[in-house]
Amino acid sequence: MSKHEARNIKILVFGLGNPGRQDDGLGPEVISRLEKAKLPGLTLEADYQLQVEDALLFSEQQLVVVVDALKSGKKPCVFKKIKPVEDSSFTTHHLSPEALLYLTQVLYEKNPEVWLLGIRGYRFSLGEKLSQKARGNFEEAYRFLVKLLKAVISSGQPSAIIDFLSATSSRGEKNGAKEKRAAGS
Amino acid sequence: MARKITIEPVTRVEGHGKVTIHLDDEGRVSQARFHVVEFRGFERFVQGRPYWEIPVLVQRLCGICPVSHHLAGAKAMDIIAGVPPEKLTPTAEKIRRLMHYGQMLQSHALHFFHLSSPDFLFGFDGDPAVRNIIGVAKFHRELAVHGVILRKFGQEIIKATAGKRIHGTGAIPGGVNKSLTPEERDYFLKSPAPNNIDTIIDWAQEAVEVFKKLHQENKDVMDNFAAFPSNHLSLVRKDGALDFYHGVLRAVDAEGRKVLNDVDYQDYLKYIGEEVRPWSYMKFPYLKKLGKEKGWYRVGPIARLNTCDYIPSPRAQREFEIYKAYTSGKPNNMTLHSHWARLIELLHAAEVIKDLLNDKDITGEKLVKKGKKQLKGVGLVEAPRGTLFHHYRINKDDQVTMANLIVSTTNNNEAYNQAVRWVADKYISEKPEITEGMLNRVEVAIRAYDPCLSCATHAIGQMPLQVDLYDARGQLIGSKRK
Repeated sequence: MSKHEARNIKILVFGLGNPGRQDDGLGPEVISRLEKAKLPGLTLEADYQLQVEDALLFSEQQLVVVVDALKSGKKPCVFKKIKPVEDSSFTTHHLSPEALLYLTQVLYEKNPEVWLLGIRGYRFSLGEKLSQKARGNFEEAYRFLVKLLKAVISSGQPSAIIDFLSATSSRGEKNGAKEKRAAGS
Repeated sequence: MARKITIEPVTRVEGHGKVTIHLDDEGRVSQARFHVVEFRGFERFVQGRPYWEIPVLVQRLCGICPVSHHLAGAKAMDIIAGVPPEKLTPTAEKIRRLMHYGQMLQSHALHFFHLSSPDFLFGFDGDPAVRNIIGVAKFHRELAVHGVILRKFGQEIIKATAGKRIHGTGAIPGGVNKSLTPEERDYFLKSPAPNNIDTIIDWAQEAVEVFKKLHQENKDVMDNFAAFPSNHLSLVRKDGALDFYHGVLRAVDAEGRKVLNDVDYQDYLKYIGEEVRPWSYMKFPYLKKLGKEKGWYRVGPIARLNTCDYIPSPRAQREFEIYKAYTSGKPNNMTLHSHWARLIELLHAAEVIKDLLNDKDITGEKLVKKGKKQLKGVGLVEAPRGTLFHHYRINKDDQVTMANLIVSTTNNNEAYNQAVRWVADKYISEKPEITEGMLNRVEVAIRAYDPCLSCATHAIGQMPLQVDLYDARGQLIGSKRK
């Protein structure tokens, strides 16, 4: 088996946002780039927002990475584990990853591992291009995500994320803070 | 002391809206307004773009009903491409209908099962921690699962016809760029339950029964909450049947008298005016025949079932007859009955999807026609929330020079204000303070129409509910956030 061959692990990467709203399109942009990368075994989705039917999609995965734009924060991107939350902030146009994971557990008695990759955006008005600063953040976040996915695909276990984060954190101490920052925590 | 109560933004409602309620010195409501605080600006955004990009570009307006914008834009571009609706190939027309009715199915399912049903299942004064989709999932699991599957089925129909989950390219000027393969058709017809259309029809019927049961249990509230007379406007098929995709424009008044008698929507500017009021970015459309004061109207499920003569599918027609009998055949002006109308439409959409899947044209190969280019065109569909107008002009270089969109939410603008005023008069004047129950009643009234205010960005961290209280001098004297 080659280093990056899939080991039968079900991974969903879900990019959220509206590409017609400048940096809100960061999530779908990641999916666009991943489609070209052709990593084995990935399910790729992009939409404006999570919706209730995505609970069914989540329930069929072992690992879900939700990619979304962030409107605040000092870091170019953050990566954090999502815990299920009984969140009442439901709108027709927005359901948080935390609430969706909770719904997945209640409706389908499944508990996939869900992580959020948040990429800092700056401009959210009508327009089709990412801002220059957001583009820089995108590149950093994308590199981080591809390395992480390759590590998980290679190991076949969602728990490989923890090992990957530890390793990048160590390298970050040696080589500068970039990847450590991307790993968030 | 006169006071102003501000609710901003409204939760569980798309975009950013706020409600301001002005109280007089005695604590009575002197004015209630529903505001839109973001300028959409989309009409300017599309200027200069080549006309064939419009059907894809306009989907960026809305994450919940992009298909409505896609099809309204495509219908306008058909006219510009010199291919009027009756000239489309049968396959193109039926693929577009399938896409549209799939969207109606998923949008109506989302609205009732996951947005509005908590209000009825747990009561307007129910614990906010339970009165939401999570509460439905925990305490009415089967209902929530049905909602998920109905949504998913509609989304899969859209994906199969539009090509993608978002920003599909299915409809193009003069036709479509794909039809269904026999395998795609059979997936929807023959998959094991619950992923086949027969199960979807049965569950849609069950949803109507759920509403009728809730109505029996809460008749007084369902019939009287935020009820007010109005005109009603929608497309109808040329023979008066309910039709979401194409037809003529009809309006009736609160008594059922026809105000617009089946006119061609290409001439909508002759019949519809748009009033600008200084306190809102959203215009106020009205029927010119009745004038600004009396010509405002409602659109959406309740309006559609008030304007049409019948529903061209058997199960939905039976439910329509029960629905109409409740008001002795007169227009229904009861705001919360819009949920009843919505579920009858859900059932109709499911029945039409089955008919289309069984139609041989749905796998046909004649997809596009060409015609003589025109410099203007109007496209109109019935979106889930109501009538949607797209109007464009282009120049000789094929660039869009003018766009005018009247979206469903704009058409319902005065209805929101009437509904908010009704709630304010009844609940706030009784107890002039911001309570959870009062807030939710304002939301319940607005949710009946489910406004989509600006198709705003949704990046994580948005959509709190904040309530600010001001005194007569404009000084903030209280604030509440949930």
